[in-house]
Amino acid sequence: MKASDLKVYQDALVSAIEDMTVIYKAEIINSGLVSKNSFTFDPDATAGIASIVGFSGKVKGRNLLWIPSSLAILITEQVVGDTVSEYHDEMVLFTVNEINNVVSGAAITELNNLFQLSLRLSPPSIFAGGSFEIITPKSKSYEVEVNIKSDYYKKALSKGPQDHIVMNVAIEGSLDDEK
Amino acid sequence: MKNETKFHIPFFDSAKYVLEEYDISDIEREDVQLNKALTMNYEVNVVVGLTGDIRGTVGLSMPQGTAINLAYQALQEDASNKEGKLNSKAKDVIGEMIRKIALKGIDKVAVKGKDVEASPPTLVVGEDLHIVISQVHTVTLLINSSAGQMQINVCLEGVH
Repeated sequence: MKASDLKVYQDALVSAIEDMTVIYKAEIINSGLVSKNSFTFDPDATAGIASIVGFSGKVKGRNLLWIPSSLAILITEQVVGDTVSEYHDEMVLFTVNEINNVVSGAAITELNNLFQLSLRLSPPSIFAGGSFEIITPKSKSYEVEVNIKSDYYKKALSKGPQDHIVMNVAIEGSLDDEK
Repeated sequence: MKNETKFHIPFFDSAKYVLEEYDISDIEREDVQLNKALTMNYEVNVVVGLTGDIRGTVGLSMPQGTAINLAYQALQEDASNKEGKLNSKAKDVIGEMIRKIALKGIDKVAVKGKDVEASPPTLVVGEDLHIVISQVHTVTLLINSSAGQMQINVCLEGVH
């Protein structure tokens, strides 16, 4: 498996965002895959929700989905059909978890089909807060960022650079094209 | 409760074993608690995912001071940075600690006929965090030790 094969996460994330924002369509402006050595939030970063799912098999790692809190609230309101006031409301946290489950499940299934990696997912854990740092020691990470635009989401997006959703994939060791 | 926690206890036992390996002393275990949903307020949290016959999460949570003491004990050198927070070496060693706890627990669970694997540890450090490490029941053990207080959380799906 090569780093470029992780594009399956980009496809899965774009597809999940389109499905979850079906009522008030979010336009995908751009998306891309980049390599990173670590995954650390800037202390001044906007409040957000991170959902972490581990995986193991022939390769080990973890998938981390990060959504800005105000955007997570708006997506949750669409999914549950009710209003939500706090970003750490259980509904919001579980919606972000569910998106991670959907994206991770689709990407892992695709990777298993392509490379027979026998990957299996652990249940997700959620972390919500103003600023936090996330580190997966001895791993290299790859990041898919999806930028979105929508009139409906303007009220969330006007507060700052919150118009992006991030899927960060950390893999222990090296991939085939990095050995 | 005993039957409900038969696959959780091996992880608590392995936590004590691993802490003792790092020369952490005065380890006192409080009562095991069963929580419907778990939220924690500690600054340093590390989780390992479990996959296989048992799916779940093993988590360790503690205040920054406990984490610095633990890391100092493991590294035998200063574990804090200029701001008095965990330095990068210390974060690595805390991650390794939970990996050892998870792997040792998995060995004990394997004796009970379960094939389980662990994902790499992920460390989350921050203030005023709202954390839910599982949507299923979580079994929690509070530990007091020479390094300070910490909380071990084990949530396993489909073992009740």
